[in-house]
Amino acid sequence: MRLIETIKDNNYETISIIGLAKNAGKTVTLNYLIEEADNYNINVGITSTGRDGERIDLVTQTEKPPILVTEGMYLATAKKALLLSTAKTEILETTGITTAMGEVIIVRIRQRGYIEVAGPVSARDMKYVAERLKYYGAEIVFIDGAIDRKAVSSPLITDACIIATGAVLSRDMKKVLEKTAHEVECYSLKEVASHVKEIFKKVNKTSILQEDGSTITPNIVTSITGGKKINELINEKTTHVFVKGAVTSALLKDLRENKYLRGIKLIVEDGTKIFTDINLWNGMKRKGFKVETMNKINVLAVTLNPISPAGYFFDSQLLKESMEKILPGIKILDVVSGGDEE
Amino acid sequence: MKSVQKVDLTKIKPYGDTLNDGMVQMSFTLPVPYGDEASEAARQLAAKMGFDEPAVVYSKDLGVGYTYFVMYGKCSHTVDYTSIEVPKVSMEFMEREEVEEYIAENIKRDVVIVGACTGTDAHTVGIDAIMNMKGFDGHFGLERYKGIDAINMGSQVSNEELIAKAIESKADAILVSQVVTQKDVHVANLTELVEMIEAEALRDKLILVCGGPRISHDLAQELGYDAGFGSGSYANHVASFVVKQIVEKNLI
Repeated sequence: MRLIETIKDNNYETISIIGLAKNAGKTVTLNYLIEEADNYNINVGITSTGRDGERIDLVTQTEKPPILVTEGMYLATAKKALLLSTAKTEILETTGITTAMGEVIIVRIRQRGYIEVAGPVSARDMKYVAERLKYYGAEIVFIDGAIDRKAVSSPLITDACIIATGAVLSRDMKKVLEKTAHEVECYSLKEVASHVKEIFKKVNKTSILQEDGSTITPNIVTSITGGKKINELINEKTTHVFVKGAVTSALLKDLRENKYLRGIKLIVEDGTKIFTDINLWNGMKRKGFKVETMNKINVLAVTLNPISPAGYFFDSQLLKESMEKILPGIKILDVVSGGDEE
Repeated sequence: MKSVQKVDLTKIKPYGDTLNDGMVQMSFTLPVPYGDEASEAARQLAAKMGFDEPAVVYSKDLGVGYTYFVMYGKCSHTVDYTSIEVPKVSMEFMEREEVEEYIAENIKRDVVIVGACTGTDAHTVGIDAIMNMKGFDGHFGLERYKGIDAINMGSQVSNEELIAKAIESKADAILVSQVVTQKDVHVANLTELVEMIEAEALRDKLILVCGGPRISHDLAQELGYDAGFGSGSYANHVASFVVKQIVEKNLI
């Protein structure tokens, strides 16, 4: 099934496209999806958490692909970015949300052309803008993530996400595979059993669940520095530890030495809250450490860009095959060398 | 007497000995052994970069088969200075005394600002210039401001430590400085901080500011910060922005 059909079939309305690094190929992925939607006569809405569609990258000064849109699509972009777009548009709403490039404006495309997208930067404003795009008639809203930001892919904001990765992550293909696999793993963690989920939802704080169903709430301001305290409160009766907020390397290091580690499950809010060193994470998993999530993120596909702007590239076939091997069951698309799907 | 040649701002190019001679001095290293062939390679490369009359004026054997060059060349391109527009934090900056008055009148409590140079960066010049008592270039730092509790965490601070400190001290604003970078690691550091702050559900409660020679207001906003301050920014600029934002975002 083609990616766009999967999106339609699952009734996903908002899709985030996030990159694991700058220049991982987010824009190419977005263009591919826009073209597919156009072929299927689906009206899409487009916005971005950063700036996109500009011809020259702000950081690396390298050339970037333009974004082409056709009549009937919807766009949420900042005023100055709109003035730089060649597509003819009709203004539907001025949102009052400000960005470096002016207020975010919602428009309908009247005549095909290139656009520059610069949408809201905060996750909360993004949620509002996506709602408005749907209100005006967008059947699917694509949110292009800025640089390597991922907060927008939180299930609180989008229904599913597409992860763009590629050679830019490292000169060593093994590292690219490892980093991508880690990210996909964090996103697609198993959802915790529903009765446990209900308990933690009610507590809504970092807390420890015991066998008998009682919870202990450690007196900490943030789990970033609260690892030691959490560690002391874990005993042989502990079944789950829920961390509200960021799960960092510091926290995992505190938990690493806990002798009850094997018996407990760590519960995260969702995959975007995990910020750990890959080696530490994998090492602990080998020791029997289990992690589940409150909210699973649907990873629809992983797109590949085998070329790095730093001047090196991978064999695209080899990269695709290796990626398919470590991520079984996930659609892998090489959108740069040719995004043809079977 | 010949009149002084006037600068055409729509077509500016480098100045060497005379206006518009386009003279540029540059240096780079090539991974080839020192010698005449290396110099010729450097010359040809500079020609490909678009320099007229490229010349190697100095070269040095770096050992291990690498050579360092200093070159001259004439740049043939021009830039229209009059059409340039760089987004900056657009507001009227207050002086120190005005900021202090503003805090006393509008916020009526101490404003807590935590600053650090994050990641592997050990260069504190930027954060020190903004935060330290003595300040920089005749502009006192935030530590000198009445009504501002400035906490400078120094260099090589991890994003985790910085957020923990901000939570512990009930900070109103976080200042991050990134001076030296390799392979754009400063961008990865800066986005990780925003992501962690979003994860901790603190983004709406904090003013987030970054600064450094490679940071523009444009880039900062793209990364999810409230503002970015480049070279030539002083403590009173940052302080003006932070206190006004506290009032605007209703974080009093």
